[in-house]
Amino acid sequence: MKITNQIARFRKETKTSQAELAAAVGVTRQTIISLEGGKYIASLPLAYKIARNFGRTIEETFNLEGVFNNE
Amino acid sequence: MNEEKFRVKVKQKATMSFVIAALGLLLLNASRLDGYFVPENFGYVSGYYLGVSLGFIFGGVIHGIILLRLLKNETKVKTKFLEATDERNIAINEKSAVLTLYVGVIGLLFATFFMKTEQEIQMLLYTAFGLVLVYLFAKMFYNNKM
Repeated sequence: MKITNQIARFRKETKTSQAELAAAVGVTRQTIISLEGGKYIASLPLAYKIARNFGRTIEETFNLEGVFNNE
Repeated sequence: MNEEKFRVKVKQKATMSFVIAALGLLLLNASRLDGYFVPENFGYVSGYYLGVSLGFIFGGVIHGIILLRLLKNETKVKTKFLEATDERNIAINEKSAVLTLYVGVIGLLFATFFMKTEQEIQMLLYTAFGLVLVYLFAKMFYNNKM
């Protein structure tokens, strides 16, 4: 089971830096780096915060490979 | 936890650090009064008492001062609060603690069979030092992995 995400893409689209996103959702920049690199899987509350920050849904932001495909 | 509670927690930690320093001072004085630091009694145990008490004193005072200075800097408090509440950091600390516990238990089991220590205090200090190292390495490992 692998969870991929669109954080880096949405960040580029909204011209948000990693530090800005981290401050907005209340985590460290390192956590955003790990999330974008696929090393760390966000908790449900954090996933909600990130998705809401971009004005998206969780399904648009995160994708559980092999189970759902929203590409 | 909000930022105000975090400040209170830091203050409590600073107080605890100074209490540890005071305990170190007590231990140093107690071992001096017990005659561990006179030349004819000086040995391994004197070294342990001296090391542990000086470690408590300097460690406690330095850590306490660092924490008190942190409280005066708003930006640093915000950064430390973010680090303390960051879910990835919490996960890393939890995983490292669990790994340290496993290593500690397994290490102690093996030590029971193979180690022939002459003094319990020596084994206790080696174990404590070893577990601190294991915890630090585990944190480094998970920091890279996660």
